Formats: sequence, structure tokens, C-alpha cells
Amino acid sequence: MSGPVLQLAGVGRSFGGLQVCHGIDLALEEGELHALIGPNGAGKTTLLDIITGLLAADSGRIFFRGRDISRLPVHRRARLGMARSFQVSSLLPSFTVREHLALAVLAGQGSGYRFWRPVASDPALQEPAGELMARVGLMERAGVRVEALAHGERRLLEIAMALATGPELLLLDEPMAGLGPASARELAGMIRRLKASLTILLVEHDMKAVFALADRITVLVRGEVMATGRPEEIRNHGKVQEAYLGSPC
Amino acid sequence: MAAETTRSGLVFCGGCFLLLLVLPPLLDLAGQQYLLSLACRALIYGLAASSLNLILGYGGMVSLGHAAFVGIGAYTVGILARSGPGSGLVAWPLAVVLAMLFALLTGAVSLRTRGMHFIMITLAFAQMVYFFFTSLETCGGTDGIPLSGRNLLPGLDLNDDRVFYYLCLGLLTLLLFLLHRLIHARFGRVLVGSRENEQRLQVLGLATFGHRLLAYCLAGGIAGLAGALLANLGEYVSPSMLHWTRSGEIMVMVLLGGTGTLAGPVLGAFVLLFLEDYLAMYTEHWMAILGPVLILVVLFARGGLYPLLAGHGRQR
Ligand SMILES: Nc1ncnc2c1ncn2[C@@H]1O[C@H](COP(=O)(O)OP(=O)(O)OP(=O)(O)O)[C@@H](O)[C@H]1O
Ligand SMILES: [Mg+2]
Repeated sequence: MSGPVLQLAGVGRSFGGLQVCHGIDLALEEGELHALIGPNGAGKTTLLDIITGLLAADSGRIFFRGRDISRLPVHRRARLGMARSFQVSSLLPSFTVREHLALAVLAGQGSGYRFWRPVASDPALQEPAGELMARVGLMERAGVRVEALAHGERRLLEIAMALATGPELLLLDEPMAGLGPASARELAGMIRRLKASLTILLVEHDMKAVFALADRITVLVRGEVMATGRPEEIRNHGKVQEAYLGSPC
Repeated sequence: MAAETTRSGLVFCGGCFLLLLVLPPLLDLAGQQYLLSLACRALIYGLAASSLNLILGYGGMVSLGHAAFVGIGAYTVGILARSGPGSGLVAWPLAVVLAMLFALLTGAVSLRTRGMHFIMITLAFAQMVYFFFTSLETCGGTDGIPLSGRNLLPGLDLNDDRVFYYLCLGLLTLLLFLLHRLIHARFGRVLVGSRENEQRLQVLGLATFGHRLLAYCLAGGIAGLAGALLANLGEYVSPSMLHWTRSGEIMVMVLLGGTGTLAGPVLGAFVLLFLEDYLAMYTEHWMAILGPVLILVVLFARGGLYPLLAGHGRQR
């Protein structure tokens, strides 16, 4: 399998008169961790929405492993092997941690057209759910509903859900935001280990983490790609320093 | 996980079931046989309300067109019976299939809308069915269709009110059990999940539309069966079964008893129908009393009567 896992060609999107993404080209190579950085409102989340299909692009095309997915509905794209975590936690209010993960595992296994066996006692769902909880350290919180979870715990649940479907491409929208230093370090370690097995697009404001983790970095400013390159290239990129890295973020 | 699996819920449901089981001889002893037909009506409406609860309570689809499914089921029985009472083994499955078909066709359209639009479009489809049947000469127009007897089932004499009562009780119990399995199985989890955050489920890779549409068809089919039973109970198919106020009444049963609880809608059906019957003995303005009672229940027993009586919070 050669060629990029994910490729964007001239993707654009505007809201009313506001051009939020403009002619964006991006290619994610197999197994790389590609960071997407940029100031607030640069269009990073919008771009993830377009990749996952939650938002339609006005122009441009999106390819997953060479296949044009521009017109595929959200769930079909996910089934091809992409998963995502949300910047603002997007969870199910009445579901416990365990129930979230069982549902996510179920989604990864295909459809929900099974009508008899209780999910709660199905080892094919509960065992992977348990492993995921152990992996992100939510084991003690298994029976807790999201409304009772701390902010950081919700972030970890987001990540665990994204991993539950066994994706090939992982889209992470500011996974570190709101985590304490210890959890953030732990999460960075986890992302580093994931790099071995999948391709990751990481949106993150924590520059230390980005420069430590990323193979390549794309800088998005006001909806346009300002630069793409290896971390040291980006660090020494004059315009980027001026526009972004120099300013507090 | 579900309210029903708690101990107090099990005790409450078990107690209610036993009471329903011994109700016919009890009514005999008390000399109140006429109440048996009312109880039977409540069982059948309990079936219809449970089916609405599947989509409204678990699926978050607030449909105001449930009377259409009930009516289609009833008219199927009525039209087939014009040449004399036929077999229930033919009429009832046909009632279910036709109601499901109608649910499939209308659901494919209406489930693409949300909120108020969904309420209005389900209402509109139901009104179309109402006008269709009331304008058809073969369906008795606004007079409805009187039946010359109940359907025939091998080994059961449905014209015996007790037999019919126990059949309805058996069918309701069976369906509640099946719904219980369904809700806790993968399908039910996806359905409840799409009520809570449909987009999130799609991002996980779940085709929520198909699950919701199937739930809508199942609900329609069960309501169609309720309609077939209702026609048999009164030996009469009335256009009023199709009226939109009937949809509202079924919805009130669900809300009153407890949305998203298994036993709640059945409880709601019993409370509403018996309260109606009781109040109607004293005043013809019973709606003026029932209305405020319902508002009080909604205000003070959030989640309905079932969680209140069974002593636990509802499954949210
Ligand atoms: N649905 C919408 N309607 C109108 N404008 C929108 C919509 N969604 C996003 N925008 C605008 O698009 C711009 C980009 O938003 P986006 O959320 O993609 O930025 P971001 O790079 O993720 O920022 P942050 O770092 O703060 O998360 C912002 O100016 C935002 O106000
Ligand atoms: Mg963002």
C-alpha cells in the first residue's frame, strides 16, 4: 500500500461570507504523526469536521487510501478506518464510561443489528472495553456517568472511544487541552506508542508536545496552509515565527 | 443498568403481573365484570403505548402519528371480516405487516427531519390515513365497520371475554419481554445512543438512520397488532381509532407512566383509561379534571409514575 493514507486537495469551506478553509492541500503518509497547528479560529476543527464528513466542503476533494470519499456519509468514512476525538467532549449523557466504550467497540465490529444478547454481558464487547479503560486509566470510573466525570476524564474517554474502533487513521482535536501536567505527559506517551501502529493527525496547542511528537507539522493561519515541514523546518520558518510561534498561544 | 433490573422495579412489575393474572376471577367475585373489558382495553393500549415508547422513550423520536398504525391494524381486521369472521392467523399478521410497511414508507421520509418538524410530519401522515379510510365507502366511511364476531384462533374461543383477556395479557407480556431483550442488546444500545448524540455514533461508524428506521417499523408493527386486537375487543372498527387525538392519548400514556421505562407505558395506559372511566361517571367534563392531574404528574413526578411507584429514578 503506497501513497498517502489521507489526502486533501484544494479543500475550502466558508460560512456565509467568512472563508474558514481555503484551498487546503494536505497529505498524511502511512504511519506518520502529522500535527496541525495554528492560532485560535484558524480553521483546524472545521478541517477535521470536513475530513470526517460532519461538514461538507464547498470545494476540493478528500481521498482515503486513494479513494475519493468527498461524498461519503459520516459513518461510511468511519467504517473505512478513521476515528476522531472531539475538542469539546461529545459524549452520551446517560451512558457510563463502560457503556460508552462497549458502544464504541460495537461500532468498530460493524453493525448494531443484534437483538437478543445483552451488551452488558457480552464478552466480545466488554473485554475490549475493559482493556481500553485500563489503557487510559479509567478502570475505577467504569460505572460512572459522564456528567459525574471530571473534565480530564472526559478527554481520556474521548481518546479511548476513538481507539475502540481500531482505526488506521486517528484524528485528535486538542487531546491535551484541560489535562493536568501529569495526565498530559501520560497521554503524550500513549500517542507516541500509537505512532507505531497508525497514522495520526494531531491538532494541538501544546507546542512542547507537538514538537516532541510530530514527524511533520502543518501550520494553518486564517484558513490557509502557511507551511508544512519537519519540526525543525517549522521552528526556523520565518513567517511562521512571526505569525504564530512568536505570539503567545 | 435499566430501571427494570433493580429489585424494587422487579417486585413492582411482578406484583402488577400477578394482579392482572387474577383480575378476571377477582372482578367476578366483586360483581364488576364490566371492568374486564376496560382492563382488556388498557392491556391493548399498553401494547400501543409500549410501541410508542420504543421510538419515543428509547429512540427520542416524538411521533404524533401513532394512531395511524393502530388504525391500519384495525381496518385490516375490519375489511377482512366483511365476509364473516376469518382466522386471526391471517388477519393479525397482515395487520402487523401493513402497519410496518406504512411505517417503512413514512419513516423513510419523516426520520430525515428533527424536533418539531418530525412531530408535524408524523401528524400529517396520520391525518392522510384518517381521511383515506373515512372517505372510502368500502370502509364504512365515517360510520366505521361493525364486525360480526371476533377472529378465529385454533383452540381458543376469542368470543369468551376471559380467553380474549388472557390472550391480550400473554401477548403484552411476551412483547415486553422481547422489548426488554432488544433494549439491552446491541440494537437497543445503538437506538438509545442515537437519542443522546446521534452524530457521535455516526462518527464511530454506526448507521444510525437504519437503526432508527427499523425501530420505527417495529413500533408500527406492534401498534398495528394493538389495532387488530382493539377491533376484536369492541367488535367494531371506528374511524376515531385513527383520529389524531388518539395519537395524543397514547403519548400521554407514555409520558404519564414513564418514558424510557419498560413497564411505565402500560401503567400509564391503565391509569389514564381507568381514571377516564371513573371521572366520566361523575361529570362529562372529565377532561377538565384529568388535564390538571396530568400536568401535576408531569411537574412533580418527572419521568412519570412508574419510577415514582417502583421507587427509583428513571433510566435516563
Ligand atoms: N458553524 C459555523 N458557523 C459560522 N462560523 C463558524 C462555524 N464553525 C466555525 N466557524 C468559524 O470558523 C472559524 C474557524 O473555526 P474553528 O473552530 O475551525 O477554529 P480552530 O482552528 O479549531 O480554533 P481553536 O484553536 O480555537 O479550536 C472561526 O472563526 C469560527 O468562528
Ligand atoms: Mg478547534
